[in-house]
Amino acid sequence: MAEAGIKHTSNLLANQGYIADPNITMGIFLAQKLQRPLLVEGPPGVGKTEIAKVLAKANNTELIRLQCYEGLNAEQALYEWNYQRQLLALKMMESETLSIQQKEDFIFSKDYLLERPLLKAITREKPPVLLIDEVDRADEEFESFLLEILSDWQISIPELGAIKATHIPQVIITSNRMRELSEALRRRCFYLWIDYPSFEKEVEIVQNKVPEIDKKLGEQICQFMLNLRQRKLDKVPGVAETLDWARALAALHIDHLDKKIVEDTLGIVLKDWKDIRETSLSLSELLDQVGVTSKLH
Amino acid sequence: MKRQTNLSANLIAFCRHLRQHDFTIGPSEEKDALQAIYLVNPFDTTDNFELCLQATLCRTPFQLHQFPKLYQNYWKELDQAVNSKTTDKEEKAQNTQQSQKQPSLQALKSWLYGNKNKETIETATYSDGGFGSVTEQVAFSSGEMKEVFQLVQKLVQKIANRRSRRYKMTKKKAILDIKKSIRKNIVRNGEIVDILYKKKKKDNIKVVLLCDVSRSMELYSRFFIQFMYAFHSLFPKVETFAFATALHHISKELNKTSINKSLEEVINKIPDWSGGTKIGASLQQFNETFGHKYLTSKTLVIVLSDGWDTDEVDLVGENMKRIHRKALKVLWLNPLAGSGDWQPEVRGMKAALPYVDALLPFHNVDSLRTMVNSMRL
Repeated sequence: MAEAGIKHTSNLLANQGYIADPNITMGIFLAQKLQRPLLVEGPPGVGKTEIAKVLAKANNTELIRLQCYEGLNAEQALYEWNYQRQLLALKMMESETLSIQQKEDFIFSKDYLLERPLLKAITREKPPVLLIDEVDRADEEFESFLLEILSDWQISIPELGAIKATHIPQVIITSNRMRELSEALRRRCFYLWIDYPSFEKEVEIVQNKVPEIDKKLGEQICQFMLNLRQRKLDKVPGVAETLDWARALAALHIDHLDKKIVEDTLGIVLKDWKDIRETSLSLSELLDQVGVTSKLH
Repeated sequence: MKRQTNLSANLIAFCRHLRQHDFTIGPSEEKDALQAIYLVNPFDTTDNFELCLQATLCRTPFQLHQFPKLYQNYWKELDQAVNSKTTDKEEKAQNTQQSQKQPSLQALKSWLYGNKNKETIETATYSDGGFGSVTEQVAFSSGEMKEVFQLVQKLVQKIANRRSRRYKMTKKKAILDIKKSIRKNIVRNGEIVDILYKKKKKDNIKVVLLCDVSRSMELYSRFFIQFMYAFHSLFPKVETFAFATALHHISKELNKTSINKSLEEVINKIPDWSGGTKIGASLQQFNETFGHKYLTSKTLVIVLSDGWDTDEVDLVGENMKRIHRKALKVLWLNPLAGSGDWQPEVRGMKAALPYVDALLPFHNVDSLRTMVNSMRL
C-alpha cells in the first residue's frame, strides 16, 4: 500500500512532466503524508520552484506564492487593512448615528482585510500549495516570524482575534543558499537537495518538455550543458537554460549543433558577459568534447 | 556498540550514531523517522528504507553527503561503527608540530612573556616612510594602543549604525507613517490629529576577520593581533580566524580580559604561525567549515593579508567568489598597499581582487585611521 503511495506520487509528478529521482519522490511523499514543510535547496535553475507548481497542478489546487526579498516584513506576508476603503466607508457613515465602537467593528471586518500570501494559504477551503520562494533572500527576522506560522498554523489579528488554519497547506520552501538558514527552520522542515541532473535525466527532461526537438540534437544539447557546467563559470546554467535553448533551436528547425549556431545562441544559455566571452574563445574545444567536431568542417 | 534487536530500538541507536557525527536529531526527528517507516513500509526494498531515513533525518547538504557512508557503517558494518576517538598517532603528530614551531613564534612568545609586567607594549609595525625592512620596526606605545582602541571604536560605531531597509516607529519627527497614522486616527473619522513617524532600524551587522599570520606577514602580526583584540573587546558580533597553511578559529582566545593572555592563547592555538601561506586552502576551509554559519548578507568580511600565496592560485579566486557572493561586503586590508608604487601583482591578490569591495592599506595606526575615516558601509 505504501509502495503504491510512493508510486502514486511518482506518477503524479511524471504526469505533469516532472522527472523526479527516487529521493525527490520520497521527500515529497513524506512531506505530504506527515504534513511537514519541504525545504528544497540547490543551485539556481534545477527545478526547485517547479516542484510547487507541479504539486499544485497535480493535486488540482491553488498555488500561493510568497516571493521573498530583503526587507520583506510580516505585513507584506500576512495581511494589511485596506485603509483607503476604510476612510471612504467612514466618510459615508458620517451622517449615520453610529457609535465609534460600531464604526470600528464595521471597518475592521474581513471585508476590509487585504489577505497576503500566508493568510490566504491558511484560510482556503481546499488546502493549497504554499510556495515560499528564495527564503534566503529575506532577513533573519522574517525567518523567525515564519517559524511561528509554520508551527502554530494560526495568525493573530488584534482587531479580529486568532485565525486558525482551515487546512494545513502543503508548504514548499526554496533556497539558493545565498545565506545559511537557521537550524530551527531546518528542523521544522523535511529537506531536499536538488543538483544538476545527470546526462540521462536531462535528456529525459528535454524530450519530455520539448517533444518537438530532434532526439540527436537533444542529446547534443545535454552533453554540451554537462561539459559547460564543469567549467569555471560565474553563472552556471541550469535545466531552465537547457530547456530555453532546446525550445529556441527547435523553433529554428535546427537538427544538430555546430559552431555558428552555438555562437549565435550562446546568450540563451549563459547570462554573464565574461562567461560568454570565455566560452566563445574555447568553443571548438568544447564542441570537440561534445563530439560534434565533424560538423565543423 | 551493542547490536539492537528491534526496529525502533535500532532506529534510535542509529539516530544516536548520527548525532555523534554532528547531526542535529532530537525526539521530533526520531518520531518523524518512525512514522515515515510506518508509512513507507520499506522492507521490500532496502533502497526505500535508506531514502526514507535520509528524507527525515538530513537537513543540510553536508548531512546528505555524509548520510550514505554513516548508513553503511551502521547497518552493514556495525562492528566498525564505533565511537572513533583521537588516536595516539594524531596526538604525537600534534606534539611534533608544537615542538617544530618557527623561531619567530618563539620570539613572539618571548616578547609576550618579556612584557608581561611592563606598562608599555611593543608591537612590530612599519613606519610611514618605508616597507619591507625589519629595521624599520618601531615601538608601539601604550598611548598608541589606546589610539588603536579609539579608532576601532569609531569603526565599530560605523558598523553598528548601518541602517536596515526595515522601519520602526519613533516619537521624534522623521518619516511620516501614513498607514499607522490613519489607523490611529480612524476613531476620529479619519481626521489626522495624531501623526506617527517611522525611521529605519539599525542593521544587525556581523563581522568576520580573516587574518594571515604566515611568514610574509610576520612584521605586522603583532599590530594585527592588537587590532583584532580591540575589535573583540568593543564589538560582540565578531568572529576571527587566523591562517597560514591552515585555518584556526581564534575568537575564544581573543575574548580574554588582557591582550597578553589572548596572545598567549592565540600562539598556542596556531602551530603554523609564521609558516608557509596557503590562502586558497584556508579560505576553502573557512567556506566549507564555517561559511554556512557565519556568512550571511549581513556579514562584513575583513581579510588582513598581503596576498602572497604558495598554493594553487585558482583556489583563492574560487573561494573569494563564494565569500563575496554570500557576504554584505568584503574588505581586503593589505599591509603592502600603502607603498606608493605598489601594485596588486602577486598571484593571490590578483585572483582575489575581482571579489573585493575595497582594497585598503593597513600597516600602522595612520593607515587604520585612514581606513576608518574612508569606510562606507
